[in-house]
Amino acid sequence: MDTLRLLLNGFQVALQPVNLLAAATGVVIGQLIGVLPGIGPSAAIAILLPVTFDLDPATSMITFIGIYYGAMYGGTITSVLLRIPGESSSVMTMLDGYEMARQGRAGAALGIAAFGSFLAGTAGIAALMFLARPLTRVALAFGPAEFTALLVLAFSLTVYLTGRDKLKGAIAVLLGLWLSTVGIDLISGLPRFTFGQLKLLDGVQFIPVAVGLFGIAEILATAHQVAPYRVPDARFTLRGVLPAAADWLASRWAILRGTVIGFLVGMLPGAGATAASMISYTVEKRASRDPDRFGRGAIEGVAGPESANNAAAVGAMVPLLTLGLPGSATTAVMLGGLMLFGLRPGPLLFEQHPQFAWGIIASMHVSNFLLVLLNLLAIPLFVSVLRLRKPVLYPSIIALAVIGTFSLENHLFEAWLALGFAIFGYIMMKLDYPAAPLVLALVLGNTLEESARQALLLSHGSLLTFVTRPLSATLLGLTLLLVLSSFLRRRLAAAAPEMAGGGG
Amino acid sequence: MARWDHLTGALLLLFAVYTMITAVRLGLWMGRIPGPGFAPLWIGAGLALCALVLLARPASGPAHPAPEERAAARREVTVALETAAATAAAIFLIPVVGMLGGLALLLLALVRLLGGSWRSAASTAVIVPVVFYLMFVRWLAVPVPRGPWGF
Repeated sequence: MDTLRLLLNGFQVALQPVNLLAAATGVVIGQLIGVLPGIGPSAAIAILLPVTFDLDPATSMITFIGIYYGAMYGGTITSVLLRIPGESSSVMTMLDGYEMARQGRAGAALGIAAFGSFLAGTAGIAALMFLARPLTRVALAFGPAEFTALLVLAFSLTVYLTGRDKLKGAIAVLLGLWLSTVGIDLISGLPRFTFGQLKLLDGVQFIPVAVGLFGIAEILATAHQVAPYRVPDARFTLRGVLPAAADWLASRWAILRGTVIGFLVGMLPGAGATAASMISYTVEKRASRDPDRFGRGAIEGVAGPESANNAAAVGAMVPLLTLGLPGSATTAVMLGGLMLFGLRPGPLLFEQHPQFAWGIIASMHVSNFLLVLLNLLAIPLFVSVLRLRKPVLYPSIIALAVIGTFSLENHLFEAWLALGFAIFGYIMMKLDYPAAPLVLALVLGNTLEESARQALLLSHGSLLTFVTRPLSATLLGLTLLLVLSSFLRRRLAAAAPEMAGGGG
Repeated sequence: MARWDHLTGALLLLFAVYTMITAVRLGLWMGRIPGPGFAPLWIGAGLALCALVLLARPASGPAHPAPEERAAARREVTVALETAAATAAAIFLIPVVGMLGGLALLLLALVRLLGGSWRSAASTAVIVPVVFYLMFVRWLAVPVPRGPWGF
């Protein structure tokens, strides 16, 4: 009952006209970003952060959540109609969605994706509402040692679940942590790694880094592909995108399973919506009585992954809001943005700013509702965006990145920083280093260092504090298990061909 | 890829050694409190370990990509470098020609570079800076650098 009362208070925030407008703007921008391959929600939020500095923190967060969800929905349209996933989380949808479109069932594919996403999003938000308070209570029991161990585990999970090469993921985390140490050390007052640059005394701001790594670097990598998309002239009526009874029957378990998988996977740092949609697709194929239909236009192959990627987007908000731990690149950028607004997500957010925290949760329901409406009524509008040509779109995004990063401090240093990190990000991309763990570590690096220092201060400098406290020791034990299992799996994979060769 | 991995491994190792030396100079402890070099030392040590593993890993992957793959890769890198260079030139020129002038030049250059017509380049170079002017200068009151012509 208490949760419902808090949610109703949240709706008072979310339904204010300015916040409704923010949610509507966010979902439209997000949907456009999802439709356009090349730029993702993390880049969009990083680029738009400076524009929202004048807004109320809740209003700007509501905009960002709209962008995040909108991108999940938007990627589906291009996957189904053009066989181009606007977002990586829509890759699995493409397999059966495009086949359905070829069979003249594009409307059904887009309709079930929209409804599945809506149902998954709504169920995910309900789970978030009821998990938020117990998790917050657990988190409030954490001391600095436990929080240090939790962050170490989160970074290890990020490395474990992001990218193919775990070593490169670990290097990206360490580089992000190194970047977070740049600037004046708050305890000793000594400058660290500033190379005589006054602008670096305050540290490396995460916005230019995120804009460079996620936004401009992505454009540098795809700018050479100038071929325009062939946009189909298909017409979509409301009746055409409403799934038939048979479609609902075929999809109901896929939506349910996708929701559960997506929510659970989304809560893990580093896993995210893409992994959730892949797992959901695999599960649906295995659960099917006729797995051969998959890849040939099975509606469950659309319903499952689409439900999973939306539930994952909600799941990623659970550790962000309750523990202050971002589970994905986009939530890492959101966390950085909230910190710039002077808010620290985590257990105290619900205690000290309940209106804000529950306003955010209520706004997720609003965004979800707006998105299903948009997706049923405005598909042709979003398809037409693909007619915007890259030679105009990409330069405009770069120009926005330059003026946006300048406006952070009214100085061109931040624009140079963004360009520098764009080139660095491009090199990382080419060498197969993931960028998301670097930004995650940059955002959380200072918190990790502060927690570790506080823990050591309380233990009079004894490093044993991390292993003698039960919760901290358990979390570090899990980290060790994760590292060992990754190492063993690698060894086993390397040994398997040799054994096979020996046996033959 | 393997050759590049070994090169980045060597560079990372150097960087890790530099980080650890700087960390020791900064001071690892201040009495019983971790000093400013405490975290950098752990980060440097972690980077050094990763760099050594990267260097020790056997070379894998195709040694000689197909000529068409090489040509495509070369084209991609060229376009990326040109885009980055045009952006750098624009940021460099902004203090001289003003923010809007710099962005207009950047848009003109990039639209042409990415294959747009002169017409779309010229219209983008006018419309987009005007939109940004309204958004950043008029709405958000950001004091952007002005060019010799006053905007």
